[in-house]
Amino acid sequence: MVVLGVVMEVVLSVTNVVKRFGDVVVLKDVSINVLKGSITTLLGPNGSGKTTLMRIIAGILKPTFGEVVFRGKAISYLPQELGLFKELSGWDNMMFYAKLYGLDKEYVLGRGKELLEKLGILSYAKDVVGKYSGGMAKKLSVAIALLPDADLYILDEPTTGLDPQSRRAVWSLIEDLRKSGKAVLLSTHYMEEAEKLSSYVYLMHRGSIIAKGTVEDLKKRYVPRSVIEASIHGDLRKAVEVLEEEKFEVFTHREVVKVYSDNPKEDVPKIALALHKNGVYVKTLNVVEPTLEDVFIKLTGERLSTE
Amino acid sequence: MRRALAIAETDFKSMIREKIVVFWAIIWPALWVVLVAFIFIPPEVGSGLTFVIGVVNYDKGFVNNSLGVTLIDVLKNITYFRVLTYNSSEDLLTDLEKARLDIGIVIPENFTIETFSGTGKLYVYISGGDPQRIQINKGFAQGFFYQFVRKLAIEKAKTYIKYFTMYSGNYTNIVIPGLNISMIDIVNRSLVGLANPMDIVFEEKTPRALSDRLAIIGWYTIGAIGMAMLYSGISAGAMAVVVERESGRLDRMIASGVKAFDLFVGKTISEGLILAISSIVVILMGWALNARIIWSPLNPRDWLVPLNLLFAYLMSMSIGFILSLATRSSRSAGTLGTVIGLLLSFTTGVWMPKSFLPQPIRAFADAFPVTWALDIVRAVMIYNEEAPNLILKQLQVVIVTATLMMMGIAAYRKTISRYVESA
Repeated sequence: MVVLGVVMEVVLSVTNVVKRFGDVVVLKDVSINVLKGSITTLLGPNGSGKTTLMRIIAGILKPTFGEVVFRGKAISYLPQELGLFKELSGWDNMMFYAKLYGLDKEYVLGRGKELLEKLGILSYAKDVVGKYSGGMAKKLSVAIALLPDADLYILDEPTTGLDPQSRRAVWSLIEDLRKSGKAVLLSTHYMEEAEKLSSYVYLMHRGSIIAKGTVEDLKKRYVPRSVIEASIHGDLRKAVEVLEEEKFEVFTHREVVKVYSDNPKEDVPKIALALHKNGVYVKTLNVVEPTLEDVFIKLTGERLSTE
Repeated sequence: MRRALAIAETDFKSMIREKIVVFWAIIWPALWVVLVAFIFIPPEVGSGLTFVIGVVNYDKGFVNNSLGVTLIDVLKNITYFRVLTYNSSEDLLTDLEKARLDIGIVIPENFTIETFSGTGKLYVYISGGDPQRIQINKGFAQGFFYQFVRKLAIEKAKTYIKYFTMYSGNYTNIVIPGLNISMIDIVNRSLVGLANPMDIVFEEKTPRALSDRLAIIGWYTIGAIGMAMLYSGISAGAMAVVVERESGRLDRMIASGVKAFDLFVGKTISEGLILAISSIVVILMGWALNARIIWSPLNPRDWLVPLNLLFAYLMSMSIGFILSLATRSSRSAGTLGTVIGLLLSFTTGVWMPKSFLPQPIRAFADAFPVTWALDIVRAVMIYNEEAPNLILKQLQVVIVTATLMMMGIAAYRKTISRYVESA
């Protein structure tokens, strides 16, 4: 596959995959490619089919129709559930999965310690996992997933439940994998994570891929304009009505009214004036660049996450 | 196989650190052996009963002889009797009514004279702390006086012959033609025959295993192992897949290349190790309580014991795998496995002897294959049965174990695919 003039090896091809559970169609004709040395992100709200697709790729589920071709030797999979033995120490858990992957002890001692140290849990490695906090257990689970020398790392929401500092540590490790030529397939509903890490993004909605491309491509294609965010004190509905009368394209997110604009310099004073005239009190008015959330909203009319 | 061994090792380490597993698989069956030894079959069982007998002797005797005194001497010489003498029948009856005595005897004034001149009279009162004990006391008193009266009759017959010979002169030496027996011999045999018409031979023939307390403890020691095999094996089989699914380990293992066979072998080995420890602990506990159980590593026949415990375990685990088809969570699988395991323990002759069971349940117990394997264990360890006598039963156990395992594996594969294929 040629990406930006560079030939990149396809590690994984998923073609026209359909998955049914009884009468419920969970995946509808899904096709994706994952390239070596890249981070491919599946972005979508809960229930969009990300986890099912990942379980099919990991060989846990069989597709009802379609084909999955993996060109490599080993896959490492991080499920959303921790998948740990609570009665054993962090180190014992790591050794168990290392044995399943046939890793030798020397390698585990080196790479395992490095991962645990970078995630800040090396000093707890000999403690029983049952005594870990949720965040520590999640970090151990991530460390175990990143331990094998795999060709493809499937990481299902690797940073859910982590504090911002730990999240950044995980991002750094994922970035390191990409730099070392590994392929990563990531699922997340964190905008910031997807925008920071993704080489390529597949937007998923109700079992289908609704858009794909790099982060910049998607933004340019679907939300080419700037977004003016007006934080409103009081009646949000009235603010929307006023701005729609002024022919602005408007949508809301929490207590914020968002307006698409081709010319923010002219539109900001117009918006402020219109709202002021109609008795709507504006707390703040900002011009922001569009996010993948905006892309998703543009495509589906729904938000990505409820957070 | 590398993956199966990794699963076995880690699963074993994980289980042995779980207090609930250690309790149910090791402490609980060992506790039952202790309960059997000290509560259900207490130390006094098999050591024989002691009867407290009160006696009032009003007998005046005859010519310096007193049959009343002789009777009391006989009673005092019997190990099982503790004899208390009373001065009045009122005191004796009071103590009988207060259940301080098991048996009371009142020897009347003319006991000796009446006995030797015709038929003596004796008053025997039965008491006891509970209805069962009263029955035992009555039986014992009747048995004792049956023997005493018989011996007395023989003595009377002999005395009669003695005096008959003394005062009959040569008449007693007449030999009856054709029979070549003297007249006195015929009279002697006839009188003794009247006094003792039959020699009844009493001999105890209780089952070997249940003949005494230590053998009974041995029997229940094997029962405790069988009980642990059933509820732990069935629960482990029922929970094997669902617990991995709920923890998220199943997905992770499959993604790493673990096959259904690896998980099956790993789980079977880990639970088998726990139950092997359980069996050893229970047998050591039995030995510590002096249970009569035979096992020597030097006797090839005795290796049928671990082999059949393995078969019993594999059958229980297979039943658990079949049960897993009917469960949806680890909690329901664990509860169902334990309940069915315990129920089977008490209804299949695994824990208590089949002879204790009502007829329809006994028929079920006879057909239950785990019991067959434990029957072989008991045949070796308790009954000291020779190996050739066990061949047919062993063959049955092997065939049924193989069949149940095939069914168990099929059920297990179906359970795995069901969980994996769930959303």
